[in-house]
Amino acid sequence: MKLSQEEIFALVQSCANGNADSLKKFFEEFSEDIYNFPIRVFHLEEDDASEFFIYAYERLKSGKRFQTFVSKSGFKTWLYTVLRNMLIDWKRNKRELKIVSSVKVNSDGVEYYSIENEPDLKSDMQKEADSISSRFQDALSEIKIESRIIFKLAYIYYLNLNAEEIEYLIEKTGLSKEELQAEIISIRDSLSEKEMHILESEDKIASIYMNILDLKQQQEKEKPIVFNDNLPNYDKIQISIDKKYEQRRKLIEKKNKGNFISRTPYRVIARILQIPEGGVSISLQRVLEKIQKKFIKYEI
Amino acid sequence: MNSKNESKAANNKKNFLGLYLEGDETVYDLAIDDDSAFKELSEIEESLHGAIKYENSKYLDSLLDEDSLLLENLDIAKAKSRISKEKNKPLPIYLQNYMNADIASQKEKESDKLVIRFGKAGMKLLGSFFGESLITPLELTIPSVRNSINTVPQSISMLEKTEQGSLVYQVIQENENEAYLSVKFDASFVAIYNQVNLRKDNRFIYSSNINSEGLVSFSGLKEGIYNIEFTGKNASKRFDLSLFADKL
Repeated sequence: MKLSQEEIFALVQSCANGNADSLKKFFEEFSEDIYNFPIRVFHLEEDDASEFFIYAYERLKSGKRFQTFVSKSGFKTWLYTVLRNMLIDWKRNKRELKIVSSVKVNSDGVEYYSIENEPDLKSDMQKEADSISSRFQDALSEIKIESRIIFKLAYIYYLNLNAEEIEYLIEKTGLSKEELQAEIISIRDSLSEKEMHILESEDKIASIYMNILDLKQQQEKEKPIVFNDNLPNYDKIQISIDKKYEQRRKLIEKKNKGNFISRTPYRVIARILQIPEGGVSISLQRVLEKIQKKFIKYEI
Repeated sequence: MNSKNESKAANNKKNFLGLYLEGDETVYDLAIDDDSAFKELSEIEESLHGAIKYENSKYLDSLLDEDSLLLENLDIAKAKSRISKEKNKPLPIYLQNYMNADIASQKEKESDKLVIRFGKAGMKLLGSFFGESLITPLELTIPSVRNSINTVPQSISMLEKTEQGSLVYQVIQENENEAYLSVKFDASFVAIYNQVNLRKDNRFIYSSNINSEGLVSFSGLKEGIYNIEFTGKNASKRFDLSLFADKL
């Protein structure tokens, strides 16, 4: 049921007073939006979105947060601003929550505390996994800013510009902050007008590759583990990876094959940066080759 | 000769990438017919998805240190264009169940709680809410669990530090439908608490003494909200364990 603006304002006010029925109705109406916020805006995986959902639900359910709503800002603007702030808090909490190593359990299932005579392989593996992740995260920062911006503008539907890139763009194009903001919003809006079946395919393919990336990360962690009673986990992960590639192959065979990563047309990027379209195409190709090298180095 | 072949291969590779970037669908026909073209296509798609994933994670991290009105406006606008009833992914049933159970319980005072999802995809700690106590995820090595057919996480351990001492909670997935909970007290707690009561969905189901080593365990826990209460002569402590099965 679609609520009118007046009904939404009344609902939010009632939630702010802690009315249990109104809060129930609010979550019936908007829980899907809360769950989708980190997925659609920050491209978080569904598992993390679930964790964030519980975090947000626990903080919204008392109704106190609703007292910050001012009707002139618009309901959706208010809701997404609250969720964005919560997401940043959630991320900060996660960063501060360090995993500690303490009790261990031996092969008989008995707990023991002594670790002096045993190197802590898992901590080292965690560090290694972190370094893999940061190597990927650095992939774009190692590319020259002018090429990086072309790549980011090409995939601006998914990516975000950082402060340095915004500054560079403003200087290079002569656009004001407001004009640049309007330009990016306009590109994203035009790319988001996709049909439902295209969106579903995009989600499906993104999920296949996210799983592959996770499995590869897991595989990397498994490499040094030696347990006397351990089955070959490494091989099992490889089987799962192969299955995911097979899924992608089947999607292509089903003629469900198109390019499901939305790219900004070259002419739009060329217009913003005042460079020839051919220059955009060549730069983009070079950047992608460089990124690919990072991933291939990791035996993808 | 070798260098000629290498340069030809490099050119083909460049052409393939160029075609992909142009949105030319022949790359997909090539991928169906030729394994090396499929590998090349997978590498391109994987690199792109990887770059998007890691850049977004980096962006979110960067907001912890530096945010601006422009970035906020862009994110809010992105949310407005990408979130709608038609475009949304459905809310997983276990999250719906969590809300329904929480709303139905209508507690006046919030308890400490652990929220855990389990199922075919393994276990996932969805939330830990422990008031003023410091609760930290623990890294435990459990060969018996690692030995399982699945490679997914099947055990979650948390350390709670309170003024009285510390406790370790461990939840292990026994099978797709059942979990095992153990709680280990440190010595200072053993002197305070001697009994534990277990309730499920507000119904009393089990009571037991806490052994001298401060260890309590419950097996065969199915989906639901469990309340675990430790009692002693002059003290009591309770927490909720919300277990939700993800029926994939």
